[in-house]
Amino acid sequence: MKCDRAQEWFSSLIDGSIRPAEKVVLEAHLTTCRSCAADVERLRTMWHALDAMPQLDPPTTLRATVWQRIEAAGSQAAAAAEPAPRFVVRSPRLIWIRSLALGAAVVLLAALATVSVPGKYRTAAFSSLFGHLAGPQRNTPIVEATLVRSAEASSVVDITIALSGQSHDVASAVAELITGSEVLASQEVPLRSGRGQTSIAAPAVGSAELSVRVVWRDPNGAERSFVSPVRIR
Amino acid sequence: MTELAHEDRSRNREGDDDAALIAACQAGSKEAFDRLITKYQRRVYTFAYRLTGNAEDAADVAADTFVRLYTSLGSFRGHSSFVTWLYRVVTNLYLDSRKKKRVRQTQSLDEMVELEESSVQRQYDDDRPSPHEIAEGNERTAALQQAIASLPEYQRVMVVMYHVDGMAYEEIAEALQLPIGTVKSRLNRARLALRHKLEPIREQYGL
Ligand SMILES: [Zn+2]
Repeated sequence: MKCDRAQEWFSSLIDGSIRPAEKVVLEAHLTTCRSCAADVERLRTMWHALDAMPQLDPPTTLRATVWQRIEAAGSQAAAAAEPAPRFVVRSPRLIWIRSLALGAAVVLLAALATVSVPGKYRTAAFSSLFGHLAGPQRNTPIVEATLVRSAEASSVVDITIALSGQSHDVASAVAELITGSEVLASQEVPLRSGRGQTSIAAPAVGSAELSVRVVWRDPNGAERSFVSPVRIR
Repeated sequence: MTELAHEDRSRNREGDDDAALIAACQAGSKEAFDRLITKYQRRVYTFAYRLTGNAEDAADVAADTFVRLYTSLGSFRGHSSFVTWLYRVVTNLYLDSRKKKRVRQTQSLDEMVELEESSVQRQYDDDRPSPHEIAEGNERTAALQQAIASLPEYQRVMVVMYHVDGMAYEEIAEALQLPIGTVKSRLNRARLALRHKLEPIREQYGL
């Protein structure tokens, strides 16, 4: 056996995964080749030294840095997506929601989008996308809720719901605008091949918390829903 | 929010915990994601430190790793274990950061599979950790760290995965999307190369 061939088996000799037949050949070589025998022993020493290298404490600021970057990425993406934002979107989750929807949404998401409107309530627009897990190995409907207008307290809030996804996933759907436990408005989402869109108009509720709930039936008749809070202040 | 079923059952207890945690993250729980950071930050940071050889770059790569996780957890479907997926993310971010630093030496994770052995026999002398960065304050560890830093990137990644993090060959193969035989033979060559690099200081540090 040649030394360079023997070397190929050094690691498996040390980690014990070497085949018995190979081991016999290699050990025979090691008894006659002092150079290789020494190499194996040095390799073994290095191996244990590497294994003993300690874990290190991360900087205490690491978590904060992560959240800062998530937040920064969220507002950048939101700014890029809106042509003329007149408000500040402060939801780091927004970018997640977007990327999730783009990458074929997997799970139920409750999205909290905080829209800060400077001064009084002015025309504002933002969109967020929600995905829902319809079940394992099934294409999931994607639900998009767009707050079209948030106006003076006496005015209206329009919410557009777009259901899309594989047609067999969505049999029927209802969109609701809710605050607390009160349903302010409810609207059937007309579906064609499992896709549909609607708007809900409801009295604006000032700084109260609004939620959009979408309820749909899958073809088996099972009711599925999600709620996504939309806070306007 | 009860319908967060995953397609694959995780293999072990930790995997089960991860599955629940990830499902909660995917459902929008920031608290769950915070727990995920807390759980893995030490491993991720250590891995990044052993690869980059300095605290600043390691913290940068580690932070970016979690940001990437946050934005792409939605596409994680549990076909691979979370840990191997996590390591794939860190590795790619590390390789990307290297790529930015050295435009000429392009080695993405995919490209590196194709590379000829001879084309990656480079040494990076400037990767030496400065004395104050050697957090462990142990000369032998520092010597090992320096030797690891002089390995070509793909060897470095494997050595750190196996020896520092204690990943199994199977996990490394999954993380790097390489056949297990390739991982084993490359790791053997990486160890031999590392030992060769350590030879001049072997007696000094009892290696
Ligand atoms: Zn020999």
